[in-house]
Amino acid sequence: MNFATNPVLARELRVRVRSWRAVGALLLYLLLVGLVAWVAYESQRSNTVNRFDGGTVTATETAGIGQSVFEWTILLLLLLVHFSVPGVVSGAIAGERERQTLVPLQVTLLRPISIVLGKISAAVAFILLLIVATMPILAIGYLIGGVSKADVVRALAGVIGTTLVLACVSAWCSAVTRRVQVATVMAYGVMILMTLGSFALYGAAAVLDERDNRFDRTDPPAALLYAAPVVAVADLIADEPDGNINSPFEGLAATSERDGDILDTGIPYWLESTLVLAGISILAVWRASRHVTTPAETER
Amino acid sequence: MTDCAVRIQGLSKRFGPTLAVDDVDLEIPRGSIFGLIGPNGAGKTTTLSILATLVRPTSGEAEVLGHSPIREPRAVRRRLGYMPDQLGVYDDMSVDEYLGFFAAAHDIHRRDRAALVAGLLELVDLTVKAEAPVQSLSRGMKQRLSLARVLVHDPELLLLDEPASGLDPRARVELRDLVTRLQGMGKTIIISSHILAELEQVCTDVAIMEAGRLLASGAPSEILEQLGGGRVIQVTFADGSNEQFTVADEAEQEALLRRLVTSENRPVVEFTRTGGGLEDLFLSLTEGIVQ
Repeated sequence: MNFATNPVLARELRVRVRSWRAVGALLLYLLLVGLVAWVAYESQRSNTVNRFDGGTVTATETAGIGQSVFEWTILLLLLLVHFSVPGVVSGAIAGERERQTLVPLQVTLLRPISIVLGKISAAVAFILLLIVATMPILAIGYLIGGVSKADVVRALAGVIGTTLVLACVSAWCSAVTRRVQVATVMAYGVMILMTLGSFALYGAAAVLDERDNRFDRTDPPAALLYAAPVVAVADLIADEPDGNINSPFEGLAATSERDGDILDTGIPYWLESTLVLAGISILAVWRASRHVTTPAETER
Repeated sequence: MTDCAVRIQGLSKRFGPTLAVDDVDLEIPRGSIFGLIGPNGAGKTTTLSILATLVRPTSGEAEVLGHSPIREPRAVRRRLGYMPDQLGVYDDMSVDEYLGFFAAAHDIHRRDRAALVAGLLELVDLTVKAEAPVQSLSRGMKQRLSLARVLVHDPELLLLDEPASGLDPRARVELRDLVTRLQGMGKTIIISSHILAELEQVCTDVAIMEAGRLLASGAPSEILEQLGGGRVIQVTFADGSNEQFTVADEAEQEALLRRLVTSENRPVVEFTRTGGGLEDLFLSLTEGIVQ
């Protein structure tokens, strides 16, 4: 079955897009993004022009404003992805079970992987819609300056990649549980484990390192943060730290820069992390489709 | 081509400590309306789930239209329509979208879908509801929609698990008529149900299950004959006298009435079956064991 004609994807998109909830969510989201972009702009501008030189702004400072608007908008997109994707995708398979619509699907010619991928791609498609809707706001940063086309492409690739990873993991949570509520709690739990859990691990390693200084280095291995997509995106966007205090990503990117040299592969951090996250995603999708496959040992 | 639509040999299914299906042997003839009868926990749904390629048996073999539901599930799914006991419909779609979705899931080409959906809606008498949201349908309509769903790929075999449950008397009659029409279209239909009176009127063959075991199978009259029982007919004559007769099946019942009225010239004012039907058969075979 052709991916573009996947009936599960077509159904999900049709039902999702025509509801007023989707329109409301989109409107609310755009208001929020607009507000964040405006606050970022005003904050950076006031930091830049309120000085004793009569308010002259150099080209570098203008670029800083553009970059700040752009990065804060991307951060908001990333936060939205982290908080919305588990909620949206966790109901995908468990919801079919709860509504008792999974069995009729399982006795069609749809392959289990098509069911799982249809659900994941519908969630990704909705996030893509949000990204497209964000483009005019992202364009402000691009037009002010300080942001290249490559920066935009890299940032959007990071957001879409993060969406995919979280959608795949949430689909697995949805496939292994029978109730949407349980799947949702589990999906958010896994998301928190991947992000905050990674930071907690990194922090704990830093404390131990400082105490023992066993490996004669000051920083724990950045590989501990591979499972946190936000660090990879930060590494991808803010790859050249310039001390911009208004950049939300520079601190995170610097964390990935200070690698403890355990895996000195010469490959950029974001690529290493992407490979790990791709592995996690493929494993999650494979396991999810196994849980939808019939005939099974028990009724699913 | 074999005369059996379904052949089951030594089929067993265990869920933990519970033996849901216990060494069942069964043959279901092509073109029949086959009733699977039994109390809750008898193993009917599990047996249907195995045939519908959903559950793997613990032991034994099943063959559906010449294919193994375990080794060739897709080949079976192409030729089988399964309607589970729970309706499971998407409330957020319209009736025609719902059928179109399942047509797509059965690889039916986009250009053929509209005509197919229109034909199915006509068959199940839902044409006027084509654009209505599924959630606005009554239970009987949803049941007919589910039946239309299992027909989208024109399967040869239909497995209907408790199709009449929760339906009002009119909806049951409509469903029964529909099932009879589908048999007329050459389909083999397996129906599991508790409502014996409904099955009695449409089934050509039955199997009675209890506690996972198959107690009897065949045409109801054959089973009655094997059990040495039959239909008990209460006859009231014009002179006020009553008599009871035992017949094996419908044909014998008709012959009895003809003999009494024409050959023996005894005016009959009431001719009622009082026992020996599917219900008596069921009660005489089962012991009320619940797993």
